[in-house]
Amino acid sequence: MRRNKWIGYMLVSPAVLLIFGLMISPIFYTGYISLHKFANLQIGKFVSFNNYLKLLSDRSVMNSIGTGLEITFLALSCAMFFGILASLWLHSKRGTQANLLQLLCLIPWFTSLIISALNWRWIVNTDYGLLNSILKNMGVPIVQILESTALSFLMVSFIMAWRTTGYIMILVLSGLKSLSEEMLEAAKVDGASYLQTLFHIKFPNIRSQIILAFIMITLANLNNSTIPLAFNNGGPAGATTTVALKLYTLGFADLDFGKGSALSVLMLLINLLIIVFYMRSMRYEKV
Amino acid sequence: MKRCKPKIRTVDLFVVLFIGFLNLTPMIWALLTSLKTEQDIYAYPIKVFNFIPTLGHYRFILNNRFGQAFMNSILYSVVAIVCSIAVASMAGYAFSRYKSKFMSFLFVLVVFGIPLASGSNALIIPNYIVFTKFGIVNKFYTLPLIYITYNLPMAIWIALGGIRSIPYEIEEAAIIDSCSKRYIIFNLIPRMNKPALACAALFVFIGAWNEYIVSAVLITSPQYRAIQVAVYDFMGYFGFQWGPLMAATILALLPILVLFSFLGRQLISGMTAGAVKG
Repeated sequence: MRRNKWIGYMLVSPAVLLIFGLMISPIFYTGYISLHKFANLQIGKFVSFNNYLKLLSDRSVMNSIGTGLEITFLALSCAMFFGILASLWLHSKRGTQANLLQLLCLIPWFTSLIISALNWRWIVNTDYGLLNSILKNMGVPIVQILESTALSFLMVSFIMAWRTTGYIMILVLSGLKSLSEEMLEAAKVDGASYLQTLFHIKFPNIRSQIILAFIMITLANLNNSTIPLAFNNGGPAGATTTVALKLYTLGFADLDFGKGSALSVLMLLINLLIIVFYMRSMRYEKV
Repeated sequence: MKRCKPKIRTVDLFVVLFIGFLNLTPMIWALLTSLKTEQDIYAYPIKVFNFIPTLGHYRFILNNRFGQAFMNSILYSVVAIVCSIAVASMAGYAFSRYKSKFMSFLFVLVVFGIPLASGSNALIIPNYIVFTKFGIVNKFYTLPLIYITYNLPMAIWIALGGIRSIPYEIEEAAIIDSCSKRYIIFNLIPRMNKPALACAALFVFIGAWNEYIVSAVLITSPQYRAIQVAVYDFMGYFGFQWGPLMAATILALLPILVLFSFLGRQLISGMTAGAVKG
């Protein structure tokens, strides 16, 4: 029996080594670095929370946290609304038709972030984009999305919502499919209206899928630096510089790894908070 | 005889058209742009289909080392798939058959990796610092290593789901037939678990192929560049040349679209099984 146990550990060791070595231990190392002076990739003297204080006094960083949260939740709530709506609509479809529709909804989720952002950027291009050409043809004044702070902000949120709606739809749909027919039948017999069935039977029973979608998409949006970067480089005037993008520019444009690692730790703590909810919802699923 | 033609409601038709328009326009517009000449792209009034298609932009990007980045990413993805499926299959087997306190702790570590990997942007600075410290940036194995690690938690999760549905009796029968443990772990179980492993492989490929930010940070030498980085670089090198840029996005989208059209159903079942069921 003891021998058996060692076979098990040997079999998981490559996986655990990789995950621990490349995903978990760097977090602790960065925590250590964030408490030191760090220049030219050399660890300097211990400065305690100096990097964090510098971070907190940096207006652009604080703004980016606000922007990041705003874009995350704006995109999330739109995607949630339309995703759930689409799943309710798709749930009534059967067969090949339903399969094709699911695939159609999922295309943006499997398109890479870079490609999505660049394709949309070309569509909303001020002078030659598809959108403005159509507007010009209709005689409507053109929109300068890439030059306007508010419109860029909305457009980045839109792209994030656009790519995640399909994912939410698939998750919620899987929940809807697992509902028992008898329960819905019983509700119908008891004379429940469509909305009553929806709010009192369907939603409570697919709570775990909705929570899971909520968590995963919050995490994905909050940590999405690629879409703001490729769509408009975080501009104009920092309007789309999310905290994820700020993290990237702090490290790899400003080469300020002291502040960068402090912000990384901060981001990881936020992620950790979300992940705790994730782990709890997974346990909820397993029991 | 009554004809059983399904009635298509107008509301449904509008919804489908709307979704199709929203989800396909960026891609189709990119394709049309990539086939136009420079003059046609910037023409007014806009040309939608009334132009003579040309492959000039594709030729241009392939002459500018785009092909190399494409091949790099194919190689990276294949290595990532092979390694992560092997590792995930072993780990999945161990997690399903060997139970102990420490084992379940390790399993929590793996599950913890799933959301951690999807928020991997927070790990770019930590990974960059650690990789630089050990001198493993800008190597041919840098990106496969990262791709394997980031996609491993999900691959293990999917592989485990498959193994749990294989009845233990089959393994017992194999033992009675005097099969070695090695045969069971490396041959019998993976073969029985083929659907789950194939599904995991699909997700590893998509994860590896679509990764941008870590690939951009860890690789600076052009010869090891990944495809998404190459696409983005077309923007930087030549200012805004939308023709080559859109051609690059179309080529980078091609493998995903091919998989998507042939294995779409597996993708959907993998998404729901991998993300929801415990």
